[in-house]
Amino acid sequence: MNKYFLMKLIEASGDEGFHGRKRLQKVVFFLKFEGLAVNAEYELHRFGPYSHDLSQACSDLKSQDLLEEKTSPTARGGVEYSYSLTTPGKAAISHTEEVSPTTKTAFSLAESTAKSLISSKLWDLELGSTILFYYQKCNDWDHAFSNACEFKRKDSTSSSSTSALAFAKSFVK
Amino acid sequence: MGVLYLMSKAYSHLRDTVKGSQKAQVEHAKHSLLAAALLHDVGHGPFSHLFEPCMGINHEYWSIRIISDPESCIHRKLSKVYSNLPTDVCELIKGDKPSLPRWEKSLISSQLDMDRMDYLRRDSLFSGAGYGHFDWSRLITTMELHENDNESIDLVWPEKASMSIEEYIFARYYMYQNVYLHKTTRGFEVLLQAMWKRAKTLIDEGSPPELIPAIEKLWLNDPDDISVAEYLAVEEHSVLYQMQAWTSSTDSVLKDLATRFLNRDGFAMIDPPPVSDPLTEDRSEWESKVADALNDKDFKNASCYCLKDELKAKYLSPYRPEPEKGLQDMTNAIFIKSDNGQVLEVSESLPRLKAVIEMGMSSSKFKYYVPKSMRKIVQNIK
Repeated sequence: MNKYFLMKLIEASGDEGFHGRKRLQKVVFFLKFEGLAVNAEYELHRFGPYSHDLSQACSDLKSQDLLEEKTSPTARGGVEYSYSLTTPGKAAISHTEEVSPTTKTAFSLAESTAKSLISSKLWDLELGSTILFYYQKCNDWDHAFSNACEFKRKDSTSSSSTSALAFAKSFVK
Repeated sequence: MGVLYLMSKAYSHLRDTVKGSQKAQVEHAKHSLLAAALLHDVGHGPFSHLFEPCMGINHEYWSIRIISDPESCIHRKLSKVYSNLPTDVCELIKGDKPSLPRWEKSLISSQLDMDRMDYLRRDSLFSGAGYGHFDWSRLITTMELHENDNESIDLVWPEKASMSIEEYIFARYYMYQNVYLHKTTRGFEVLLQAMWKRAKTLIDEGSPPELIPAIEKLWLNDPDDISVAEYLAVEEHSVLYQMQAWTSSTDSVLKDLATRFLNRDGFAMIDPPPVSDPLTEDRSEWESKVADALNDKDFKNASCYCLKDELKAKYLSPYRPEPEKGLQDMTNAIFIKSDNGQVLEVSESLPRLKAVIEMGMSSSKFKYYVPKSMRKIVQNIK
């Protein structure tokens, strides 16, 4: 996993930090689909596409004190994770941008998409990424959509499902 | 054949031990399970996984193509059992159909599947390593089906099997550390890949090396444009003959790499210096110095003689449950069902496993390989 891109993604989420591990997984999936060289392998998991490489990169950055992870209770009794950059993390980004300007440019090109994804509805990200995951395999929207809805146990005729399909389709030119 | 043998044992055990509606489900799955066990790797090309990166082969794609092809004898044989069997087998191999029963998928592809149990024992035997032994019979004859609240049926093991599971995981660990990831093995893998990459570069530059027709057809065309027969025409001896031909190539680099490989003159492993930038893990400055040193010693194409090898974290760990408990899934972890019916991920009941699990929680590791004559020079480059 390209850790610079991950740190820039957290930075792009603003002062409040990046909220949600699930959201992080799906946002990176979409950025990868858009062509950003994140170098993270994805497989289908309980909530849709999931990358061990990304999860590992977060752990590494935490242990290097470059990324801070906070937890807060959710209304449903679960836990929400949020990420923000530490001071050494911000310095590490500056260092990378100084020594590797091409890496900086690569993320700049994807930054507006990243910001748009960060503010997207979680369900669009979750079901949309699952649809895209299947679409990559079969190149058939109907098949991908029915498989994704079956996988997520979601009615394919519901408005939230069709919204996620439209969201997924917007990433395929 | 080994996977089929183990699957038939697992099938017989489940058929004879499960009760009620589960029994009918097990019996219904018999043919697809046994056929998938036998055929899941039928699409492997020459030298199996080793050769896949060289020619861009995806064996699962070819397994599906071979089984689905009405002209293939495999398809015809399966169809005689029942008409939809080829499709059922393909779905089981692909494993991504949501309605696929999870216990069936687990037997074919999971962290404790019949394939892993088979190749571990086979590789142990044929490599002569003293590792890789575990009580496979105990693992098969203790597995159970467990019905979850969410109406899925999963494969679990009782507490009495936990030592056998631990033994299996450690056997995998020893085999990976001592055989699969051994520096000599990996060194020959990267040398082989460098040789074929060099040949591809020459093709792309318009000065292709000699290619035998079967390899040319497979390598230079889109897989969708290749027939199953054309794919199957490329075998181990085709590849060996191809490499033998390259030992007299007019391209000195390709000639040298092919000669080294066939003469078992492998490269030496080098540990690179620590990275200065933790975010990009960039070693280009060091790589550039190594390239200069190689050039000084007449290795004019440094990218073919300084070979980077990434040992991905997932290969460093013999077992990888989810790092986040909330994401733990029955298909990507091994579960123990306690006597009181509680189902736990195996490392929660076997703390000794945590050490090897943590191996896989570290980042990928990078090694470099250079000609043996360059080892000492490169080791001194900081």
